[in-house]
Amino acid sequence: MISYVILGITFLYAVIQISIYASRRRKPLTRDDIDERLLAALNGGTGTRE
Amino acid sequence: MNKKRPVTFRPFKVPRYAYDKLRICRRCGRFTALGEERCSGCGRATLTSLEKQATAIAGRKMHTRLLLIVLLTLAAVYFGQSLQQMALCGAGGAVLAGALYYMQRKVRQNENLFALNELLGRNIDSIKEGLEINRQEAVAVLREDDVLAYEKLREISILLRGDRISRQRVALLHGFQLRKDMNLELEQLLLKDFEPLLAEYIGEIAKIRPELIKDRTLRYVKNYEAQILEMDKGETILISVAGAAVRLKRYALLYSGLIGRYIQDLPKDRFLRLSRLISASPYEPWNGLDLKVAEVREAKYRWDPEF
Repeated sequence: MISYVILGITFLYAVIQISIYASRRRKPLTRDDIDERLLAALNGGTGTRE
Repeated sequence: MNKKRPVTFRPFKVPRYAYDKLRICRRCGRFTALGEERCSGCGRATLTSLEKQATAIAGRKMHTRLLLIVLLTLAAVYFGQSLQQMALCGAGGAVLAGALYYMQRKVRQNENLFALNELLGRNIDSIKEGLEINRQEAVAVLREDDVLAYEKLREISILLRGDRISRQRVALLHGFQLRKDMNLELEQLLLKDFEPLLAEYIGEIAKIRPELIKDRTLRYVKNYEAQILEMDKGETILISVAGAAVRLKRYALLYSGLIGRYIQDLPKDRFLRLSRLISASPYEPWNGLDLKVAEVREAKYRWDPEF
């Protein structure tokens, strides 16, 4: 019985991880997004100069 | 007397993404935008690019998740009460581990970017701190080696784009003899308010690298035209900028007023260029610039065969 419980937990864990990966894959990040966010954070909201 | 010194800058390439300039020390976690080999914090040669670090973090996370599935599977097999149960748990665990591994391989690139984003987001204060230390390092070498200080500030300015760094860079550039072959920039140095040293720099750039005079510079000059005129060589600066503006028809149309005010003193080649631009497109809205060109041509170049 214990082994089935552990297998169940393993199954749930794997499903959660796979769905996290799948959801992130649906909304992929681009390098431009990351760059813009970094510049905005470093320069007080203005990622790029006007 | 000309106090400007001839200098040579090291080659500099602007990275495609600003974060490419950053490196992190694997040992002490300090960030730097400068090209030193050893970390200025702990002194070890453990500086690595952020992308590499993010890839390593993402890889580690993926391995940990996979390892957890394998360990849980082993535990399930261990606690199995019959051979059938053990085989079933083993097979089930293997399928789950295989599915996760397959998914991880498919999303690896995307996960690397998420890890990079997280690394930057979580450490933004440390990054700011590291860049401030870099800036202080640049200021510290200013007296002994102003070229090195300029080069350091140039690297930091990829990430920190405030007026403070630009002002320091303009002040340093003021002491250098500028040449056409130098790796110069202008748009990145423009400030929010008027700065006479910047106006002088714009004037020099307009003479040696007119292709660097673009929209933002022309707008800056137009906004602070009155203040520039009050400077010693203000008019010369404005004439050079007007000469550089006639490089493109778009600029000549957009800044026809500015060009028109200095048309009398434009060098012959710039005037000829403007005259040809207008002759090629006589029906564009030149805002009176075409009439001024005609007047000057009549007054100064009436007998010139080039016109």
